[in-house]
Formats: sequence, structure tokens, C-alpha cells
Amino acid sequence: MHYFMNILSNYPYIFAVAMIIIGIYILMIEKNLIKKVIGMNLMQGGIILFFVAISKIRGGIPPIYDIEKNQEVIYSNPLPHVLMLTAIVVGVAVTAVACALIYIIYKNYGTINEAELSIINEKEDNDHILTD
Amino acid sequence: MYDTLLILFLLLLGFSVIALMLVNDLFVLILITGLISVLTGIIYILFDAVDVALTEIAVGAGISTILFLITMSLTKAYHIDGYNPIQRFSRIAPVNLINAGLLLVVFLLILDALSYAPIFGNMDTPANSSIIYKVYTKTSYETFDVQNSVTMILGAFRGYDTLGEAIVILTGAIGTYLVMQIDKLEKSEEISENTSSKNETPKDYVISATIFTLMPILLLFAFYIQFHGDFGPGGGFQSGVMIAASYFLIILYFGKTIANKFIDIKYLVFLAALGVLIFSITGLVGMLLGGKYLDYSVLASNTSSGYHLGLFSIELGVGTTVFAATAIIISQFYGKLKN
Repeated sequence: MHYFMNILSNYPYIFAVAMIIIGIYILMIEKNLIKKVIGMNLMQGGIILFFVAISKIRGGIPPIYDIEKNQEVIYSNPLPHVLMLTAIVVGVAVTAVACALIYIIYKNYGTINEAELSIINEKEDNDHILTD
Repeated sequence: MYDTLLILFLLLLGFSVIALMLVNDLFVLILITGLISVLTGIIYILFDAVDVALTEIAVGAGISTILFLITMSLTKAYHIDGYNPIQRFSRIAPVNLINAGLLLVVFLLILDALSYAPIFGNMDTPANSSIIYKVYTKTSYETFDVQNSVTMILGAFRGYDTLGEAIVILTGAIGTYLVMQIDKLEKSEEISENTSSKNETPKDYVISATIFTLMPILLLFAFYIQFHGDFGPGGGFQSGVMIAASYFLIILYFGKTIANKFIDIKYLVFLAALGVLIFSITGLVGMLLGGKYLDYSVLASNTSSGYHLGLFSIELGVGTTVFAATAIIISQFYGKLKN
């Protein structure tokens, strides 16, 4: 009983972990490259949610100095916020480069489906062997 | 009350994520990713992470959605595949079932680990009982008189992280620019013919209503959080992304050629490098005045105003880099869309 109560009282972590797992699932299962990048973003979102959830203190306030209630107040932990702030902005740079690469793949092969891409790749390899 | 609200938004997030797995239409899928960003932003506010919430909503719902939508229409991939969810699940290959089973096992193992993990929201968890965050907040509020301790950690205590991150964003923009140039090199004559004969975009009512009502407020808010970063939530990242979003609105309304006259791509590249330069020079000035690298206490007569000056300067550098890098990325993608 104590076991399940501990898990249930950590419910925000459960959602964060589920987001990470579903992100990896989409990365593994889906063939469409854009959906793969979306899955990668989802995974990153889960990790950020996990870190931000760690920083929360019940009864605390955002880590911005409040003059009216000076001494007694508890501030939530600002350190994970800073780390995740940088992670989000680096994430959009990663997304941009990934989207650019998807566009170039489409320009060269005419498709962004991974299954079709691997068929084209095999065909090219075979042609290469034949011409040699 | 707090838990009810948190569970409500977490459940909404969970439903959106499940919808993300099932939907076949890529346009709907991308809109759901934007919705997930907004919902996670609201959850971050409930977790007291106001800066992270601002960034997540500006970046996730704004820039990422635009990037995905433009990539979707560039690659003409409007559907994931021709199947509905039930058909998709019925044709899952056995190897995929093994993958899904393995992931389920990993999920259950992590759930087991959560049973003896520190309880959410407690003060005595290892992260929240450590002395370092109390030192950070206390010195930030009392010694340096910086009201937003997130900005203080970002700019001063962990200044090297932020400098490296500004360089990463610059590299990301340069990488996108270079990758987008690949097919331009092959057929540069075609594009130059197209741009001269091409008409401007038709002026849509929705876009004009959006641009003339939303853009002034967006810009005002962006500059407010840019220059107010050490007193309240916000800072260079958020304002940079918001100014880039209003740049995108300009491109959308006036077309790319007029937007290019307004601010050219080479000035954007210059601005992106200038931001990193402002950041690193601020650190060097501290060194020249007798302090350490990224030590702002020597910039002014007393420690507090020195730190406010230093944080203002590095927020300006970060904001410039983020704005220019995001604008380069968006204009590169949008340029491909027109040709």
C-alpha cells in the first residue's frame, strides 16, 4: 500500500516519464521523418517537465523577490529553471537543423518516408555494384 | 485545489500526447504539438517556473510550429500514411511489438523507481535541501539586489553556460543557412528568374487583422521583458524569440522581397555574431577593470549596480543573437516556400 501511495504522490513524474517513453516510441515506430522530429521534441518536453517538477516546493512561490513577505516565504528552486531555459532554446536550434535536413532529403529523393528512402538507398547501392 | 488544477492540466497533456500518437493528418498533428507546448507552459507556471513557461510558449507554440508547418508544405507530406489508427495498430510489425514491449518494461521499471524516489514538492528532497540554491537566491536578493534569481544564475553564477548556449544557437542558425544553400548552388539561375517575375503575397484579411492588432503588443511586451529581465520574469531568450515572431509577421504580410529591403539576411548574420560578441566583450571588460571573466561587480561604482549593468548587457547580447538566429532560420525556410 505504501508502495503505491509513494508512486501516486509522485504523479507529475509519471506524466513526464510517459512523455519521454511515448517520444522514444514515436522515434522508433514512425516512418515519416517530420513525425520523428516531433517525437524527439516530445521526448525533450518530457525531460524538461521532469526537471521543472523537481524544482517545485509545495507552498513556495516563484523565485522572484517579494518585498511584502520578505523573511518567511519559501522560494522554489531556480537552478533547474535556468538549466531547462537553455535546453528549450537549444532544442529549437536542433529542430531547425533537422527540418532543413528533411527538406534537403526531400529535394534529393522526392520522399521523406523512411521505408521508401531505404528502398531507394538499396537500389542505388545495387546500381553502383552493377556499374563497377 | 493546487493538486486538482495540476492533475487537470496533466490529464489534458496526456490526452494530447495520446492524440499525437493516433492522428494521421500531419497538419492536425503539428497543431497538437503547439497545444502540447501551451499546456506544458501552463504546467510550468503551476510549478513556479515562470521564465521557463514564457520560453516554452514562445518557442514551442510559436517558432517550432511555424518550422514544422513550413517543412510540411515544402515536402508535400500532408499525411503520415494512408491508414486510420485501428488499421495502423493492426499492421504493426512483430519487431515493433517487441520495441513497444521493451519500452513498456522500461516505463514500469521507472514507475518502480518512483516508489522510493523523493516525494514531489517536498522540501527535503536532495535537489531542494541542498545548500546551493539557498545561497543562489539569498545572495541574489540580498548582496546583489537582483530580484529575479533566474536571471542572476543565468548571467552570473552560470554565465559560461549561457555564453556557450548563445554560441550553440549561432551555430544552429549557420548550420540551417548552409544546409538550405545546398540546392541553391545547383540551380541559382532559375531562382533569380523566379524572384524577379514573382508577385507579392495577396493581403489576407486574417493576416492583416493579426499583424496590426497583435504586433505592437507583441513588440512592446518583448522589449519590456528584454529590459526588465533582472526585475521580473523574462529576458533575452524570450524577447528574442518574440521579436523574431513579429519579423515573421512582417514577412508574411509584405512578402519576402520587401522584408529583405527592411532587414537583409546579411545584416541578420551580422547581428547574430554581434550578440555573442557583446556577451564576451562584457566579460572581457570585467577582466580589464581588474575582476575575473564575467565578473560584473567592477563595472560600476558599487556591486549591485555593476551587476545590474552587466546583466543588462548580456541579456542584450543573448536577445540579439536569439532574434537574429531565429529570424535567419525562419526567413531561410520561408524563402524556400516562395520558390
